[in-house]
Amino acid sequence: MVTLQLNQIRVLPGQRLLLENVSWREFQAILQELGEHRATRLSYSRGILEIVAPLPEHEKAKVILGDLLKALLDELDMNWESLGSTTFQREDMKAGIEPDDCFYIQHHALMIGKDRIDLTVDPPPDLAIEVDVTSKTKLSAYELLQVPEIWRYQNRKLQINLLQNGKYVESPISLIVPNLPVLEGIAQFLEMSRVAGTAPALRGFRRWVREQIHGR
Amino acid sequence: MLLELRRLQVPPGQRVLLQDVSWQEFETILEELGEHRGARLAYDQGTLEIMVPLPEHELRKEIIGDLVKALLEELDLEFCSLGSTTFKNQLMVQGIEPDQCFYIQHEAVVRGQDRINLEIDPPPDLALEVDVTSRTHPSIYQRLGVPELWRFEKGKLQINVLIQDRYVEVCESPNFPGLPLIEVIPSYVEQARIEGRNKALRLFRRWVQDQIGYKTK
Repeated sequence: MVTLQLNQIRVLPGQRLLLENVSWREFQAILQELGEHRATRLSYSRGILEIVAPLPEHEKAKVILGDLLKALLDELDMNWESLGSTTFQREDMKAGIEPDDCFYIQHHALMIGKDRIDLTVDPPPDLAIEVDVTSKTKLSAYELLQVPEIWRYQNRKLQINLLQNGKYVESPISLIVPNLPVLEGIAQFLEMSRVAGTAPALRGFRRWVREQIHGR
Repeated sequence: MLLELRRLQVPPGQRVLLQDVSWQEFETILEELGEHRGARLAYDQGTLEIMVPLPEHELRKEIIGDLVKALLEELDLEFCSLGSTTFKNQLMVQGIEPDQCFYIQHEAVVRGQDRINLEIDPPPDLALEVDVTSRTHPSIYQRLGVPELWRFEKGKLQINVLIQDRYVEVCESPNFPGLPLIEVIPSYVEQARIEGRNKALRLFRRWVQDQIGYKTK
């Protein structure tokens, strides 16, 4: 039987690898061995550990999507705390995830000044951002950690997923601002950022949000 | 931390690199993975790449392989196709499993042979790689001395010929001189996709016959 050292395995940008029959202890050991300073993102659920190495364009889409969300919250005078790609995990659920980006919005106040998150006590992030393939392992980890909302962007298409009875369903509205056509607005200005650049798209989006508020 | 190789699962369309793999380990891995697997391996001086193709990749590989076989048959060239056999050379610390490969000029040398050992036997005369973006593959073929490499990527055929140990892109295959295959092969691949494999192959054979007839006139 061939055995390998974890550090012999290299996942190239844009590639994805699964490790099977990974115990919680092994998952912890892997997290520790890989450390904090790495380009890969891990998700763990049902004994499967997924290692993904994002492409540069993936990172770009993630940043713009995050910026649009922050602009939206800012225009609505809402607060947030962003936790980026922190590892969220729960031993009792045997699940862990490192989102592309994530936000505490409804629960932002609980996160102010907090350095460590313990999901057995703290709530999960209110919203996570996932760019590209959201694999079964990732979705199942999000389900187990009960993240209420995911914004998924793949093949230039944005969708909002909401957790309903333990499963994600596609939704036209966001829980953050249910009374605004957020999906439509974000999708439109995401597309605009590809053509006109990020800053003009962000400025246009802010204007759009203001019109939506005052137009009502 | 140690992990057993069999716990690694590469999803279709994905690849992973294993570093610091010795020749002995490469041989053991080949043995452990066995013959019946979807994964394709490439080994280049200590780095082992494991790639799992997508179904559409397999489809294109089959049809291009079939077109080459039809071509060889119509031209009455004896050949031997060895598919994705593992070609390796311990002295050069290289190994590769092409999408498809052919012995043409050296067909007689390997005829009836069950095992190929590149330390003694010649490399295949023509290798085919479909949608393989890996940069290491061409250099492995180069070092193994495969004289002609066809790369089919995003609907385009590129013919590479080994000249002074380096691949040079050419417009005509030395195995099939005088035939505009760079234009013709992709069009029949497309036709097979739309109108079916048998029809495309039939028309391709007719085209080859016309070309031969034209040349002998």
